[in-house]
Amino acid sequence: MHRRALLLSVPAVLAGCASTTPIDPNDESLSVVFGYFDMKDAPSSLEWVSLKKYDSRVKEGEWYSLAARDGLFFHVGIEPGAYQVDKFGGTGGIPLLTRRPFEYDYAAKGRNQTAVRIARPGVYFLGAHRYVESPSGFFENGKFQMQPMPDLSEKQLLERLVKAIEGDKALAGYTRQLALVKRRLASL
Amino acid sequence: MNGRSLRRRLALLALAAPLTACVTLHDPAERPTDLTGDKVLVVGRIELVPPLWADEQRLFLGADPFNTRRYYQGRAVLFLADTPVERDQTGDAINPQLEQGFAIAVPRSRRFVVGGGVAMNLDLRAVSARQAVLDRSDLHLPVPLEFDFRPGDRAIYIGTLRIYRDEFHSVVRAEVRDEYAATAAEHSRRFGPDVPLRRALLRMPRA
Repeated sequence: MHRRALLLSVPAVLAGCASTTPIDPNDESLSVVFGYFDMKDAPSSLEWVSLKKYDSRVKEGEWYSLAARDGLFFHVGIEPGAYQVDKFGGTGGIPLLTRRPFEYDYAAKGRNQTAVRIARPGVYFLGAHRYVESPSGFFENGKFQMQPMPDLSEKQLLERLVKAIEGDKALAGYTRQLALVKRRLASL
Repeated sequence: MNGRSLRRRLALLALAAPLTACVTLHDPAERPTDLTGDKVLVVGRIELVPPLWADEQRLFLGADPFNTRRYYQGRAVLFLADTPVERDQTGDAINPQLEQGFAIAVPRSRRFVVGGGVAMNLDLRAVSARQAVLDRSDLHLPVPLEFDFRPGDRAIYIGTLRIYRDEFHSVVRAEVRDEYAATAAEHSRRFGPDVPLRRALLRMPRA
């Protein structure tokens, strides 16, 4: 898996291919998807995550762009299908000197640890993973691995997710999704 | 074309060029005279299960002045080496068409397939006037694979490598099927008695 330092903001590039259709809060086919990336050892923060749909034979609407807050990323309107995180990114470097966007390619070698098949609407956890730098050549892009974090449970992250949804005015109408998350939390 | 557009195109060209450089692609053989030097004809077939559907490979290579796309469209790229150490790329490769029989002359010393696969997504995009990036995802073959070359071999039959895959472009199972009889008949018609075909099925990594 490769890391790149870019000269342009990546979210602007992703916006061109990501699904931008407003999410219908009453659509009962949609699922909540969430996960966590620990980027303490990465050269940048985590600001966005791209979730790619893999079983689609249509070219439009293949990606969902997920916002990230303190490592937690989620989306409240994912359609059924097979998905995994294919890229993520953020900004790093020294402010006013070397600050620039970074992009991490997580799906270059097929299935990764976030792969999920969504057959029925519900709450799907993509796991908690820690960024770990891997050795790479001087002229190569940086390399990394994502290691599982067994010390961070789904329950802990669901509690954070409830707070994140409840605290976001833009998500106030998504009561069905909030109820799904709370129901999942109560079951653990 | 304004200056910014030109710089973007140059950034794309600079990234596209290395795809065709530094790798010797061994050509398919059509007749006995194509088998020169210390080479052995490798005869076989690679199949994906399920096969690629139309337009499944997303190959966006910008201007692509070297027609790099032709090496990826419906084809596998198999990197060869003389030691069985997995690598992303080597200086020798074969480039067989998927779902079709192939006969390619390979240097006898290059008996291991140490990397490669099928490009599922190649998206060369300019992110600024000075920088282009290549988004890439591949279906990676299980490696190392070994060609069982023996002294005196002129042609070996490695079988049909069937690659079972999932929707995430990952290999879930691989097997080698022996279809020697049908292949040997075709081989004999094309290459005659001077290039006998020995059955030497591809050696797979242990599970």
